[in-house]
Amino acid sequence: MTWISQHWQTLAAATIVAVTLLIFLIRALRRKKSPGCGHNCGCNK
Amino acid sequence: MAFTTELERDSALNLSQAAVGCEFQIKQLDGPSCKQLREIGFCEEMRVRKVSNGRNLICAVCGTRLALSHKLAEQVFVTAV
Amino acid sequence: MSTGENNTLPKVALVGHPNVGKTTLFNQLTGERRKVGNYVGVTVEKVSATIFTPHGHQMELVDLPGCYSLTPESPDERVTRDVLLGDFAEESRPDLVINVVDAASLERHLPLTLQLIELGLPVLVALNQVDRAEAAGLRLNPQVLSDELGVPVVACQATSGKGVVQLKQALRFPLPPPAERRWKGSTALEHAVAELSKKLATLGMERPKVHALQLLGDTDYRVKVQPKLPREAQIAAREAAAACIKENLVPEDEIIKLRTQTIRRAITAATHTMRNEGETLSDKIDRVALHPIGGWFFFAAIIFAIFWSIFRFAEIPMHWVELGVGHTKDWVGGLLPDGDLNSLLTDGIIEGVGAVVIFLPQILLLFFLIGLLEGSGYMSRATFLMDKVMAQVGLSGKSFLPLLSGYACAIPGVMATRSINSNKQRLLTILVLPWQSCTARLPVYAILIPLLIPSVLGQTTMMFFIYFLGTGTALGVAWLLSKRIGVGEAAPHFLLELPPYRLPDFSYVFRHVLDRALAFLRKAGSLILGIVILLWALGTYPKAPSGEEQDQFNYSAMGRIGHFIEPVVKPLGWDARLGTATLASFAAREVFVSQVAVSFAVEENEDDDETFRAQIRTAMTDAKKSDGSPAYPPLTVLSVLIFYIYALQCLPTTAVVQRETKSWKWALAQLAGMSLFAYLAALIVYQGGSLLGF
Repeated sequence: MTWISQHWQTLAAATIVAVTLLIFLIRALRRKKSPGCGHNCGCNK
Repeated sequence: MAFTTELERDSALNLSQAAVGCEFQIKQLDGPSCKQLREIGFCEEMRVRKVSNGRNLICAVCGTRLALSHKLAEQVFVTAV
Repeated sequence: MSTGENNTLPKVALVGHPNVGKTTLFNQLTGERRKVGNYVGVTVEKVSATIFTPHGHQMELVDLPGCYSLTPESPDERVTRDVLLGDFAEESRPDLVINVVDAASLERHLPLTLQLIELGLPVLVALNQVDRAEAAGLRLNPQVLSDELGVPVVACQATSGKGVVQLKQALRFPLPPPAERRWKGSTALEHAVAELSKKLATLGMERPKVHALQLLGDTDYRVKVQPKLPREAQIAAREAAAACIKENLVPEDEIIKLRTQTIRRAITAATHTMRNEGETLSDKIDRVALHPIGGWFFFAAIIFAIFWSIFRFAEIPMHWVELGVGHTKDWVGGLLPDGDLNSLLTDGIIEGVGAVVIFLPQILLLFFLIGLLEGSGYMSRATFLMDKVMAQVGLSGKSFLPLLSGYACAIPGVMATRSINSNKQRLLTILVLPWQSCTARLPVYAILIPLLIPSVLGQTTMMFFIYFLGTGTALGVAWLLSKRIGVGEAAPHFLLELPPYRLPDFSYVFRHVLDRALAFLRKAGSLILGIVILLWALGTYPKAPSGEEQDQFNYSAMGRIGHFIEPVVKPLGWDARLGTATLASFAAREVFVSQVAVSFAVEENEDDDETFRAQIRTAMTDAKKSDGSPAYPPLTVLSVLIFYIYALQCLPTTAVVQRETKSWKWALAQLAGMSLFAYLAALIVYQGGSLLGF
């Protein structure tokens, strides 16, 4: 328990990073299937 | 709609040659771009005033300014008013 | 006509010339709600919205691309024609057409009106710009015009909202009956139409009479390949037209003549002119704006003023954003004890995203000013001036507006090339477009330029030259490529309408700026957020052993990547930090600033004298190489700037280029070519500058 309470911040941060990476990978693969503009390129198209 | 003889065509005054600042009346449109010209507003019997010359000329038709190249203006035949 | 069966809403289409005020009217009718999509199979935008009429009925309002007639010249106009003829399988035919017409210029607009009437659709004429017509001395009688045309006519002035209520009230059920053709042709012509229409009916075509008239009235429709028409229909039409010509009847000519007569009659009956053709205010302004020499100075002055405003007026809101970011960072940092999560939230996310969001005021100001310029009517003058330059490099005068849009963002610019008739010129424009410095580069320029030049005036000038360099290269390369790409098609000749100057529609401009702000924040909150998180991770792990924290960069994964690529970027005068920042910004250019901030671990100062941006610059100026010399001398900064001017660092742009050109070859060639060009340019600048002793 004490290891987690000592390092919980690192675990939390690592989780966030891992989730972010996963999201990017999923979107990259989905983009391959249906190419489009992507709607967050900052141009509102 | 087209001129009957080459002579007629050559002697007629076209918009490209017309003098700046004067009013004219469009007599005929003759050439490959007639359709486009007509659509944007150069119709037979319309009044047109030539505003300026230059690489592209500007004229006033029906209260609107239109800019066109000389190649196109050569297809619009006018008479002075 | 369908009035809402099968859960589909009745559809109302807005049709009219470009520049007539269709979009303004559309906005007046629909308010904020507006959906932008695509027509299936073609890359033309579809703009629509649902509205409620005063009688409580729901309708779909579609703003069709502007067209001068139903004999189209560009892909935009083709879509309008096909939708109106009902040939678009996935897009139902409208139940009612609102034809927006310029009251001050009826002779030019009514030909389209007649063509719409001939389609057998219910038509409602919105007689727009009545105030302007009145000011020009025109007295119009909408009722008489309505009688002559056989369709309802509503007078309005879209920019002031006048007449919009009446227009909405005219949208009631039952819809007006389909209009009837107003002219009758000679026996031969009518016979030809009837015969062709019978043939088309046996081929199974819908609305044979309408299609027959369209085919006889437009040679291109008969002769050129039309994806939406069966070939047999075209063959039958060609035969019919040939038969007419044998009897000395040219169908198109006669149809046009008949329409013209009808229009003339209608106008004579309905209007009373006291037109004074004297010099209007627009003419006076145009004496300068269109002057062959003066016009260029005028143009340069306007562009210069825009850039100057961006540097001068955006300061205050940018400072507010900086303060906001700083306070948020302190507050969040205080919520947690020191640790990795704290660092991720504050140094990573807030600082990283904040570094980009700070530039939002500048970006919005740029959009606002360009929007004002567009709304005022000046853009067609600029197009006119640019035509000569465009033509000399092999582009169309119509390339100008897409290229100008590229200053905001390349993607709408690429899509705007759809109005260019010539395929070759369209491709050329698309290929060089990304060299128009887009707003994503603005944070990079804004951070680096003050490192080179302290005064605002000097910075503005430098900005001017940066944009000029990008555009100049674009035009130069277009010229070179135009010699090598494709067969030189006969370039369509220059023909452009110069609408009178007017006050921009401010609500439209504001809405546009708001759209862009939201889009930017969406990007910041998603793509940039994600990148910044990953960059933080790469920069934080592996951790430097205690006692060597200031060397964290070198120990981290990011640092190792940086040192790996250092040999490649060293000839450009860069180090590992700049290398990684540039690498990261291939995902999104703005991230350059985030990465520089994070890699220098820019901390907030006790004394808030320096803004966040100034701190980044101080960190860069103070950084020293191992031998004590400045790590980022001016020449290095310059080479970074040059790289960013030329590099194509936006994968969505590549995706859109592929979509618009229907070719991966061109999209990838563009990406590779521009990246290489950027590298070489930065290389030449740095090495050349070093040799010259800078």
